[in-house]
Amino acid sequence: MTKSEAIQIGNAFVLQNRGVQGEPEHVQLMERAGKKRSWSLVYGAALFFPTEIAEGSVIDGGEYILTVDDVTGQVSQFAFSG
Amino acid sequence: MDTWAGQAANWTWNNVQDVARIGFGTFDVILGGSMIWTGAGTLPGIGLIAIGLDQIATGSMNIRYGRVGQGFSILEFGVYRATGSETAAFLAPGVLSLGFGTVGSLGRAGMRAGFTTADFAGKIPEVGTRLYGVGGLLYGTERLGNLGRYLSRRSVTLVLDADIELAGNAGAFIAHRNGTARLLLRTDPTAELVWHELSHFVQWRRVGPEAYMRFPRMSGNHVPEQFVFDLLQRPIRWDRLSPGYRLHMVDYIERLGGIGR
Repeated sequence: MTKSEAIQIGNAFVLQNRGVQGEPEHVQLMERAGKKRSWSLVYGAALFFPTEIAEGSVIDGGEYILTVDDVTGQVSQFAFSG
Repeated sequence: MDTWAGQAANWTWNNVQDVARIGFGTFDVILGGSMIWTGAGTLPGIGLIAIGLDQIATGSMNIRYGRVGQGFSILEFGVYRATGSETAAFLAPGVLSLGFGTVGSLGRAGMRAGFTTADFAGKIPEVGTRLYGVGGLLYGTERLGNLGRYLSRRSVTLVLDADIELAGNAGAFIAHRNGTARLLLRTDPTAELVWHELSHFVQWRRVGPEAYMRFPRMSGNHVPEQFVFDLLQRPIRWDRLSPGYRLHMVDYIERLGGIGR
């Protein structure tokens, strides 16, 4: 799976589950010994707190982090973000 | 007594007042520094350091010039000139140290209410492994109430049950331009999740709202999340984290492009 394909899958998942359209801030391929290759997609809190961002506030945490399986394209949500 | 040990004993006996003065001064400096470092109280901490340095300098000068505890320190001289009492002058450093130390201890106790695990054992029976898959004990309603009051006195609003606002599963720390902040948590947060958000609060309070908001937050240089990681990675805290949360911390900082040392 290419990076752009992973992003497309992630974006669709975010739209479906959070009702928000947006692009991930960070995307990287996760390769770990003994684990499936997967893509990590980090959607920043700015997508989910537009009012606060418009007011000039700064948000730490509140990201929406997804894992997209590099082979199957299955999406799962990262344990949590802080 | 002309042996080395004898000379040392004689010297100590002759300078015991000033050695004690230097010892107490050093203690004050260390205590004051720790109060500033932990955010327990910056002003009391500075006060303690000032008194400590005053005492160290005076003790050293007394020993150097053979005054054997007779020299006033700057603080003592000031009190003597103000009151005309030698007793008040010599009591002043101790009384002020005690006062600053007490204020700092109260601040430290407040921090503990929100930040340590000292009292969670036994109070919160339910293990939160079902939540978020990373384990850890639930923080508990009672402590959340204490935390909310503690934060509100420091211009931070604790928002509980922020499940809908939070897209991810944990929490967020929102710093506003007017110098206030909001700390958002979901229902039934684990202690680790609360510590994570509180670590943002600690840094926000330590550097001040304006400086905090200017920190870089980009992949590879995310200062607030790196600070949280480094703070929780300290041995005393790290040992208290659940195994699942430790793995999560490393994973999370890697995903944000931070450097998990």
